[in-house]
Amino acid sequence: MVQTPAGGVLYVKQRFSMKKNETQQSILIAGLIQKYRNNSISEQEMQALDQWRNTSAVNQGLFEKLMDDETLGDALLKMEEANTALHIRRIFSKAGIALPDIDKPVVKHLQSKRMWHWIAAAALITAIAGTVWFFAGTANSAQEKRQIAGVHTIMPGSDKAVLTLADGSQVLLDSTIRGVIKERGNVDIFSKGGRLVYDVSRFSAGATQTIAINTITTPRGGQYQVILPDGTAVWLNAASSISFPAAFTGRERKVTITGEVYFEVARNPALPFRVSVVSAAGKADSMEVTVLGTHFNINAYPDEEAMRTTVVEGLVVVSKARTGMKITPGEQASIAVNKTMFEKSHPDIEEVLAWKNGRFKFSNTGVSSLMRQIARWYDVDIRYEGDVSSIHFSGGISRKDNVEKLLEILESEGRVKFIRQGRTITVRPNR
Amino acid sequence: MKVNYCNEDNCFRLMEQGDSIALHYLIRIYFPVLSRYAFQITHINSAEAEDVIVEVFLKLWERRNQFADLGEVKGFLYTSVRNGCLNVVRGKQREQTRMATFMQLYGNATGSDDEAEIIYSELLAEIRKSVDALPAKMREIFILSYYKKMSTRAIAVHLNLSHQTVRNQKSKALTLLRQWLKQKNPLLLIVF
Repeated sequence: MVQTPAGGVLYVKQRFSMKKNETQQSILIAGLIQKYRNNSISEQEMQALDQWRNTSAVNQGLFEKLMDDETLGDALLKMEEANTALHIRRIFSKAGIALPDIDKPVVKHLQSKRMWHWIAAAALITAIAGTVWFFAGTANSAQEKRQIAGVHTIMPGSDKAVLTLADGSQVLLDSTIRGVIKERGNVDIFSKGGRLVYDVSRFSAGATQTIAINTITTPRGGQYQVILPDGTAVWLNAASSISFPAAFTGRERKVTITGEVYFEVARNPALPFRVSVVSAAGKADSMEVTVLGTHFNINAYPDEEAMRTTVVEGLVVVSKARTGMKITPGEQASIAVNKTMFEKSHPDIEEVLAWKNGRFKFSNTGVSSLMRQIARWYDVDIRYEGDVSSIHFSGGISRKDNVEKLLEILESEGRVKFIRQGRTITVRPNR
Repeated sequence: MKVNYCNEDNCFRLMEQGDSIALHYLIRIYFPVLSRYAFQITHINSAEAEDVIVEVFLKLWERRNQFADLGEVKGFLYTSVRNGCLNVVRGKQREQTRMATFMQLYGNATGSDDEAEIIYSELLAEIRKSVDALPAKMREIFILSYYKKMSTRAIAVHLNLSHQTVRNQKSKALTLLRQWLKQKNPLLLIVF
């Protein structure tokens, strides 16, 4: 545990330079956050933490990010894979001191090549038990079998999007964007910690001005994060968009989306948050999602069979035309295109949110659904030769891995074959 | 009596006494955390970052008697890694004469998100310390199951242990972590 001196963040040593103060302050805040996570935070410390959280939307966003066990887990795993034993030996030998004899060997198994823990399952037509599960290691032979017709390298997607301002001008957003973008009404837009942030602290609505509407659009092979003017954190998956006012005024917070978007809505009971979801059939067939402050995911790609809203935290009301449904954490409401009723289910939340956590996760997922995700993230086109509708896969892989690796793993299971030509991947059942 | 373990509580005292297990502890907890931090703030490559971090730990050991508390030690680690990485960036900048663009790219990149990165890094370090405190075998099983998300059966095969042993170790690890962390939202417990 961090030894946080009484008085929390206000504690500062006189002889520290300015930069050192900031560093110490950050270390103290981290200690407070850890105590908050542990439930061992005192009232006084809680006040100091709240004060820090209320200083800016960025702090609030960071705080929420640090409550996300999935993201932390991924970062921690990466660290376990580092060859720490080697660095220890190097430093001790340079310092000319002997290695101490301690009972803390570094976990060796993780330093070796990543072991694929991929479970491939295929639904059997005869359906003895429904699915067959087994493990597959990294298959190198699959590489040779595949006919590689093109020389294009297909890269995984990355953080990129286009921001369209109220005047129609467009700004390319990627990981290198710097500086401040000015929107009318004195709204400052800038990138911090890899996400776009709206600073409305100096916002003033002009007498006759309407509020500026901004749109962020990700291409295929892109994803992006934005903190809306009210502090709501938004994750955009590939081929998705969100439109919202540069400052929320009036009686509700209203945004419009397409594609797949995950929301962590900043709580404000006085100002309901409303998401209008444009369906495949167009604007007239929109779905509405209303919340007060909650975490949820909406998947409404035009090429999916249904629009799916999944709640992680809080309460959500979905509605479309004359029908509606209330859903609570763990529940998913889906409505098929041109259908009039919502259906409730309890999906694997980890699978639903895998994209946001930088992963693909499939549990008994049909080939066509899986290939649609691949198409959007790697920006490739998919063709089918033959019937693959009975083939399902289960397993997980990082979205940072290149498409070859993913295809190899799927192929190694022996049920499907992929033929790559440029940016087109043809899927064939392997008989 | 000489203790043969180091943790957050005795680390500072052991370091002052010149006991190298304190250095071992700080490296195994902080080296990966600092590598990540270095990349986040300057995007220099991992080999360059590792060289910087090695030098920082050597300097830390030389100056082990000059700190007032563990907080200062942590501050020293972050500040020195940041400065070291900035020097690498500046060196590159001289090499490649494209100074203006480079300054824009990297000059602004440093500092702006530094606060957030230190907070993130420190939280990761805190969690690493809790896991580090588990007995070796238990820690390994914990990491494989909760970070790598391997099933009990896969871990048993991987480590050549019985299914039951893995299950027992897993639940003991959780009990220990719960005692230490008292987490209301225990890290990754949601996985199972």
